[in-house]
Amino acid sequence: MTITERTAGNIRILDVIGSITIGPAGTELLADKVRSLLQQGQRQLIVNLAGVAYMDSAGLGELVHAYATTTRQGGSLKLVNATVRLRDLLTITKLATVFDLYDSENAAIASFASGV
Amino acid sequence: MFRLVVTDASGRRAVTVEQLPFSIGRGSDNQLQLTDGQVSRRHAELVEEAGQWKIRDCASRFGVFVNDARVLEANLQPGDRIRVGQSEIRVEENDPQTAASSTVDFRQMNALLAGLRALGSSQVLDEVLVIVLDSALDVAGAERGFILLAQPSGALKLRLARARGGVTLTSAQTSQRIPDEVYATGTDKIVTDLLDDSHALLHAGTVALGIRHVLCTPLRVLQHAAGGSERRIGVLYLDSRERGYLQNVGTLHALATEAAVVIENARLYQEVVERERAAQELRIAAQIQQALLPPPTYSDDLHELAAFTTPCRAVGGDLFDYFPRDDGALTFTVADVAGKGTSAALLTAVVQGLFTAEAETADAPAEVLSRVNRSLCRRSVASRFVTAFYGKLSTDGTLSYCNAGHNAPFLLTARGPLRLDEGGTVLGLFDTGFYENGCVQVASGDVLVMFSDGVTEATNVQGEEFGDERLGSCLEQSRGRTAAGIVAEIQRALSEFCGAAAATDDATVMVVAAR
Repeated sequence: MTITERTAGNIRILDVIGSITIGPAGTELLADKVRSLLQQGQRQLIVNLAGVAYMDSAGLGELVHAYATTTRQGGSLKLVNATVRLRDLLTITKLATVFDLYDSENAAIASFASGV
Repeated sequence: MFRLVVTDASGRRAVTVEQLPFSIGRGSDNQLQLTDGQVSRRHAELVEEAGQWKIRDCASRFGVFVNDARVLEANLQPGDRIRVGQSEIRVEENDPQTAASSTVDFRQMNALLAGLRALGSSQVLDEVLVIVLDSALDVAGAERGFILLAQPSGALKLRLARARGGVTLTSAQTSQRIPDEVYATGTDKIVTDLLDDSHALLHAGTVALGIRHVLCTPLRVLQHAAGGSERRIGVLYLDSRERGYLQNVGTLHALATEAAVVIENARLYQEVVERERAAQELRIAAQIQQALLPPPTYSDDLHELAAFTTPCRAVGGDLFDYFPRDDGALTFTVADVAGKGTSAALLTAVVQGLFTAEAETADAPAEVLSRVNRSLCRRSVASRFVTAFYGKLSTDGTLSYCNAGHNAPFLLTARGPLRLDEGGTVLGLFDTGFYENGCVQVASGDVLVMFSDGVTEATNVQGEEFGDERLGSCLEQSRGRTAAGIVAEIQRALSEFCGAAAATDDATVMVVAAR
């Protein structure tokens, strides 16, 4: 998994490529990245999942971990471009209602602007 | 040539007399330095006159004794005992034959290694290091010897420190920088006198111990597979307060070369032994996990139950459990801890304990899962969550259930299959999680099929998933079978579908048929 960062105004966008999984030494790349952005004072995050073809339950756990960390610190984390497969997984686990899911990046950016 | 076997407060060591005159005293400018309060700064010297070796007292305060008689000057021959202060010095012929025999015969060492292997000893590496170090001390006549081996990280770690006379040192230290330098460059480092201005400051800690002479040589093995390139596995480090051992550097190199191969073999062997032990522990863990599960089949007047769980590794993160209650109801659960292997298995045991504690209560399934959720949140492990289906089938045919983010079970009825997905989100993430009860009436002949995602996400060699649809049609085909028959049919269909593809997740199925 690789994560690259982009900025759109005050919003930080993380493009995730590859599969989100717990690393060999229990490393949590995404959650760690999110934590460091929060430490830098960043509060508006978008995770772009267009490049994530597969996610297992451990990967979903990490995504939730990143989400919970953000929410606890008063930030908000929105997901865009989730694959059909990930949407299914979120539906089965009933986490779809927990996450803010958007079909496009623009919609997610707009939602920050309107304070949703 | 003679050599002197010196016994003093710091132990025993051999010192070769290379040239005469040879001075003995407390001062560091002597060829043999004795750190002994009863030894004068320059106490005595060995000289040669007309082919005869003599010892001469240099006006010392406490005198020189040869074979217990105080002398000002005396002829020396092999076997004589010299005493200065508290130190005793035995004079020996420096027989090249003796020197040769003190080099270890590595054929013997390899034979020993083979023996240790045959015994399955897990201490092979430790034993080999002792032999190597004692041999090196013998060859070099050094006082202290150290073996530092490279860690996977590349940093050197002290593995063994020995002093002459077969003593293991527990708190001894080498110079900090010499081993690192030798390991990095792959070339010897010989410091003949740490008291030289250029060295004293760099090695102050070592100098404080009276150490003057250091020899450090890399341990390297040739890699035949990699075109004969060498790989360094660590360093051999010897030091001493005396001059006189550096003449055996050639022998020491031969020893280091042979020793590196033996150490590497021992290390590889030990790895195999340790891996085998870890595998054995996992097998035991797997047995315990299997033993924690209830029997895979159960039946009473109203229910017939059958289940299986197949971990994709030795231990798994899936569990099934059921509890026949005194009021005739049957409660049951299938749960899946995120992740696989040992870490998931530990959490699985915790989850099973929580369910067992809840099973006796008469509470509604949603209440049970709420409590399990709160318990898990209190013990939360970041990113770990549990999906679970918990149901209670009462004697009047009411099935109340709660589905916490788990794959929706099939309820096969005469009117067709239903999916049971009422409940809430996964357990262990949100302590505010809200869970709802689902309720459905079960008639005689209806069958409830619970499963984990390892079943529907099992893939074949083409990378296709087994999926809900295949599971559905498999259940359609096993209509009218017993619970055990349905479980067997699912297992058969799964293994036929997956073929040679390796399982990537734990797979669990539990079937409850209402009679």
